[in-house]
Amino acid sequence: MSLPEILAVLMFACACGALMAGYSVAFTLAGVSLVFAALGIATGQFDPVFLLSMPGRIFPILTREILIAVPLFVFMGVMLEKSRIAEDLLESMGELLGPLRGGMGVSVIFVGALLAASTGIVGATVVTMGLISLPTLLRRGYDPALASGSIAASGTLGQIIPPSIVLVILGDQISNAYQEAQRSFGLENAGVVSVGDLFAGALIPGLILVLCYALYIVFVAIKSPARAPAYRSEGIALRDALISSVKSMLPPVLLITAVLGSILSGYATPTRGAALGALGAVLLAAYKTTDSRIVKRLILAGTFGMGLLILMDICGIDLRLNLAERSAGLSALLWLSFLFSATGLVAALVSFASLQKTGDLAPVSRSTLHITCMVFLILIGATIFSLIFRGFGGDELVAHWLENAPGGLWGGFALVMLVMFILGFFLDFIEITFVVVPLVAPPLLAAGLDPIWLGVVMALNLQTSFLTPPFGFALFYLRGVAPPEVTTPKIYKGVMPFIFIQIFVITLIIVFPELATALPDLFYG
Amino acid sequence: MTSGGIDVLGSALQFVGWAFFPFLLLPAFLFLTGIGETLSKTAIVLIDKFSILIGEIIKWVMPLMVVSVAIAVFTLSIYGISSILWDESVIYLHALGICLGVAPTYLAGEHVKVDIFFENMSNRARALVEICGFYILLAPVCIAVIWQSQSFVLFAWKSLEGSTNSGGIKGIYLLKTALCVLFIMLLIQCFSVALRAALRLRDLHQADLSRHSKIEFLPSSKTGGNAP
Repeated sequence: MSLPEILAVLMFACACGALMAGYSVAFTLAGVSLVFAALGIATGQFDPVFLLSMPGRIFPILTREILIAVPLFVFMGVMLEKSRIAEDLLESMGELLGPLRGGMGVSVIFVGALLAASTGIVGATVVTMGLISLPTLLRRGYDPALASGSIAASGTLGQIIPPSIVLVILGDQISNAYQEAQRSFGLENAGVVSVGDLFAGALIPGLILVLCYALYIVFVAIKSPARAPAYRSEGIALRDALISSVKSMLPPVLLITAVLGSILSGYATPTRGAALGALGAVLLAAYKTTDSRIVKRLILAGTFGMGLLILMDICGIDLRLNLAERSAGLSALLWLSFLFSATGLVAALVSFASLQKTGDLAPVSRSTLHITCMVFLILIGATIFSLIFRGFGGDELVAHWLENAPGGLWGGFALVMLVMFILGFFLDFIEITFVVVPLVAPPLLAAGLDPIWLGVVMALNLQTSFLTPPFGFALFYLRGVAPPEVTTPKIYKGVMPFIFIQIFVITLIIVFPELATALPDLFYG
Repeated sequence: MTSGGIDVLGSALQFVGWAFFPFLLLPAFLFLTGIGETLSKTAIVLIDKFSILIGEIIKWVMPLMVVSVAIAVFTLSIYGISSILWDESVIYLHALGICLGVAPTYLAGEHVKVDIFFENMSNRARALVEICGFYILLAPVCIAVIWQSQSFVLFAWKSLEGSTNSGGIKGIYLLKTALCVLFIMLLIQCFSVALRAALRLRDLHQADLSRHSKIEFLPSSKTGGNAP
């Protein structure tokens, strides 16, 4: 190894060590690498020209169209969280499935998956689910280990079930890496990967996970009923429970289906789909929080109007304004569509006004701003880090290692997965994606791995890492909100079966790559 | 503005930067000597108030983006109208939101840190991490980026760089300036955080002023919150 390469490796190790001190992650990454760059310049091993390109590297991050999806999805998630749909959903599903053995546990998994799909933020989902469902499960006689395990596991589903912020970021990085593989590593296949591809790819693996979690709980309930007992609350008819359950499930399910559908069908880019989702979340939250009947009706009318508008478009009615001439029928439809648009606009404005009046809009906006800035600052820090790492020739070193890994391509792949798994113990998904993926993905992709498949397996791998004791992030979050009688060993014990399910699903995806790649092929050809 | 005028303006800004540069040593000076308490407290209050004000204004960019992208979706897919100006304005909103939002986010303590060990540290150790982090990691990075941006921004101003799309917004040079503003604001904000850490280390300051305590953001409580 040459001196610059030694410096590059040292820099990586020092950055990982320095992160432990607890200073801002973005500036630990950037600062440590800058210290090493200074060392390199002093010893003549580093070309200062690399530093000159810093602003030129940082600036495009701010203006990249796909990354605008991040604040929009964050807005949608925070808004839905504030509108407390999860609470209602869990309550009504619990009433419905509670009388069955293990039913409450299964409803936690499904609500967790739904909430995860809508917010996509691990910490938020685990905390919310822990606060609202753990006490209920314990009260109904569930085994604390089983209860906490299922909550932690369903909380991490937010990463893998689209639309999730994590997949947007990972998709962006994988797509850059794929181009890099074509440009610098001589990969002949001239394709592009989009965030939509990754959404489509992660859908089936995510659903398989949900199914496996639910099956496991049913299995436990059958084998040892004492751990997941049935429970019936007094005085609630099954029919009422069914109706209220469907009623509270319909809006979020519709919203997520609409967002995903619009992105996967190519009707909207992820950014535009995210904006639709955020708008839907605003309508939903305003409808739930307002007391005024008029506002509720206006929102219903507007939602209905926008739905009809989209339906007209999907039915192939050409409403483009620049048509030279149109038939009388089409003109009438055009005026009708204007009416629908107007009701939609009024509903949106009324919703924002109503949320502002109830005092919900300001905290949601503030929290969206904070999460967005947090993500982008890390992206900026990681950019500086990788720029300097490249300046030392670190990227070539990583590529060289991966090529010469024992066991060839699969050895290199296993090595990357192991490193990411371990990094997942102390770093968040965002940091790992920004730092590791640009380094390791191009050589792996150049060696012939499928980009979508690689992205999905990486996401599953990190999700498992967040569940694994003793460092898993999800466990920390759950520990923070769990009552004292749920001891840490119980959480660890409860999460074990779910880790095995994770490993099983990862193996499944590795053995049958079609599970991840078939859907994108189907949608995008 | 003429090219010469921009050069003069650039030199003037650089002079202002150099003039304020020595102040960055204040946290270390305060920590080592304990002199400058009043000045530090005034600076903390002013800087934090400024950051909170900017944050409270810029947060409205978020719902604005939702509305404007949603409108663009409907007009494009239904009525076939698309406007480069409209689409680009969203990018500007987004970039502006980040550039001006990072410093208030730092003040709110919302930036990620690895807290496995940090959680168990004493207040004193945390304050030390904060000061050392400021001098070893954050300040050098901010200064390096600001320094290296000079030619980057100057060039953009001289050509009044606009969008690469025809009919786009002619304001790329302003966005590039905003990138500088991001790092300048962040440097100033973290200066205030480091000052606080220095005060804590000198025991001149009550622990409740720690940035880990809840900071009151509501505009109605202008007098309360984080003011000493």
